[in-house]
Amino acid sequence: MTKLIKALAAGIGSFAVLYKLLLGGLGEQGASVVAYLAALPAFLLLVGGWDALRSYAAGHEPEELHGAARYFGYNVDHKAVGVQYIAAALLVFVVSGTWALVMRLELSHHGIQFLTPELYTTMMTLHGIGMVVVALIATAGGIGNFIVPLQVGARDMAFPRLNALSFWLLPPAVLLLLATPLMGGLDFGWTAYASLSTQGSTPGKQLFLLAFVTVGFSSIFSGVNFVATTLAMRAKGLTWGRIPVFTWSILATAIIQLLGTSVVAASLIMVLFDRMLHTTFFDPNLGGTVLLYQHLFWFYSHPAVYIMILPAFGAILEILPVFCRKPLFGYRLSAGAFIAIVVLSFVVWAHHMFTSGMWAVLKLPFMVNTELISIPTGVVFLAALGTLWRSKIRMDAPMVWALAMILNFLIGGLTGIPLADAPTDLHMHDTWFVVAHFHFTIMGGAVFGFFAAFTYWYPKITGRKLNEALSKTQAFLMFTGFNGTFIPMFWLGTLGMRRHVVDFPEWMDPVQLFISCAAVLIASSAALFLYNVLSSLKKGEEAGRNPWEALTLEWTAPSPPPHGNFERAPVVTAGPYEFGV
Amino acid sequence: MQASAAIAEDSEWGQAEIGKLGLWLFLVSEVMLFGAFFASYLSTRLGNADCALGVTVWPEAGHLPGLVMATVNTLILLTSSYTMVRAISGAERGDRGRFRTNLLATIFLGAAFLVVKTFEYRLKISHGYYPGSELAKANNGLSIFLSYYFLMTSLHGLHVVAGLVWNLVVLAAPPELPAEKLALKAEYAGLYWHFVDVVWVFLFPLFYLV
Repeated sequence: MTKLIKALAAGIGSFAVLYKLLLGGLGEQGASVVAYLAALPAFLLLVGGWDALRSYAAGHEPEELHGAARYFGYNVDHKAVGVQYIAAALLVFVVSGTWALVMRLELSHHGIQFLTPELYTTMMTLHGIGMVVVALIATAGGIGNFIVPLQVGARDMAFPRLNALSFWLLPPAVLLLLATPLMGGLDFGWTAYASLSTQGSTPGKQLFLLAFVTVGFSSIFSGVNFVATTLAMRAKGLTWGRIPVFTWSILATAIIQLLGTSVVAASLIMVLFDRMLHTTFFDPNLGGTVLLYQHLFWFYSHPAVYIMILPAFGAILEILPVFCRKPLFGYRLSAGAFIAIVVLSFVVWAHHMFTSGMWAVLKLPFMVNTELISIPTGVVFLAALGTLWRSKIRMDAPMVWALAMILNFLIGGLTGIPLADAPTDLHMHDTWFVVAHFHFTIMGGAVFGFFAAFTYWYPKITGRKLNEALSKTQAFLMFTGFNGTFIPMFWLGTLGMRRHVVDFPEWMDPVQLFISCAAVLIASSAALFLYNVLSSLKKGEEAGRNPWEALTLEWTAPSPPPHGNFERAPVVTAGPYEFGV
Repeated sequence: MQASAAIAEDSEWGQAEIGKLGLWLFLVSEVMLFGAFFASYLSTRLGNADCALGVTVWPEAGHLPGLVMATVNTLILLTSSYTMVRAISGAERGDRGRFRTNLLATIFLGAAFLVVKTFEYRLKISHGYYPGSELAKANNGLSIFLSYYFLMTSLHGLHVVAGLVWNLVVLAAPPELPAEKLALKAEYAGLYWHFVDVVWVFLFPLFYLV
């Protein structure tokens, strides 16, 4: 803990001092970049990277940490890293959710209440990028880190030190994002389109780009780790046909992280060059092209929504057989569908650009490809419904969350069709219809999926169950609040309510007020969740090894699993969902 | 990279294989990084030539100053790949002398590449060939060409620096390190070094010959 505080102090201090020193010579732009490039390694080395490097060079096992340092230090144990990811995700979730709540307060009535348009745009951007980070790391990073090594019967990830590095790259990025409002704010939305992002000299924009690149590094390293772990660390007998479906989904996610992340990093680096070094990549007057940014950006950022949703799919398909007491319907098809989604996700990006003025010939192939991706997604739905079909359902809290997620994602998926079709998208583009569609897939799908996964694996992580009644109440509140918030947005969107705008016509007032009230329900549900998580740590019902009577490997280990996970190296002799077979 | 000792007892994957797998996976993301730059460069260049806007006249790269230095640099890097292979084979045979001499030669050649590169940058800048110069502002083809040139060669230069640091770490391995572990470390560093060379093999024709 003291180590973390020292490292944070050194990182923030060196950034501040260097920034002040260099400000005269390099200007705000250059000073912020150079100061960050010095402060980041200083923080990482001090927080524990130096010890990790030394133990690597000497060929030792990395040191095991105890006490507070277990969660506040550079810990290589995948279980601690998983908990760190989850805690960080929840923290950013609360902060970014607060931005959303403030925006909703502002939007409760027409006209401007208490924000300026600039502040509103900054808040919207921060809400967007913050929640993107949450959706990227909560299930894939948090639950994935804790559960995947357990599910494949390994004692840890393939590269434990690299795993800790993946996590510790995140706090600096989050700090940078929190600092942006103090350093001039942001006006470009989380997509940071050129030429909005290449113009205007506030250092806040610079910090945003640096934070994005930092999260990218973290994502690539964790992608390397997950692919290597699932490929090479599986227990004896855990053949490809027996890998649990959640691990399949994380493998698919990791492949996207490896292939896509560096492309968006490339586009952000080009923006940084344009801002600082007078290059002209996105300046049409000097030979550049603005649309290039959008192509590079969406080449990653569309697949990125599958980084968010695939782990949720995996978790849902993992939960359903356990609570239906039936084998997963279409196990092979589901695993195949995940891989098909990975492949297709890289050939659909330009459906974000139907109205951008790109080469019109591209519209048809991208429209068709986007429609194609609904086939593997439909297969995932088929597997879920086929598992539910004629089953005897145990209605425990994880199952309630899973069913809520399926309902939400159905709406999210269906409303995607008019956006994938170029003719209807021309009408819908940049309206609240898109906002509502996006939230139905990512909040209704990925976040509800995270809650399902969290409730399901909480006993493994802590040794105790969450309070069932509180958890179900929370699910009900969030489902009601969420649908109340976003269903009216579809309607307002079709009437032409544009996103990124702080004001609206007077006749919308009643609907907007209704939406704001529903948003408060979401916030109260989140508060209830945090209370439940903390109080169940001490007071929750003791879970034992296998509270849900599931068949995957993680439930054979003690709860919580000790260092090294299993008493003996596990040997797998049957498939993961052979209930009643 | 070093895999943990956490491998299931009778897994068919040894530590060496897992380490190599991890490195290859990382190189995949590196390929995508440079791939994105190459694709952007080519699409901007070919797109501008084709479309109705076609105002951009691309400079004949071969006529810009620095071609000789770049050719020398190509030879330097290719030679360094050869010495790297010899260093690895030395490590594999347990011949420490051969390993050290060749790895030192690789490091020396890598450093020489960076020195020549610096001189090439200075030559270009002294003739006004840099983004934001009067020359570049007057000619949009030149401006965008120089933008890509400096972006991609400087990032490649950063990768050379990273490769040099990696090679130095391997060179500093303690003498008591068993031969097979040394060979493995050398192989990892070599893999990365070859990747950096291959990137240059694509950069050279695209920025100096066409």
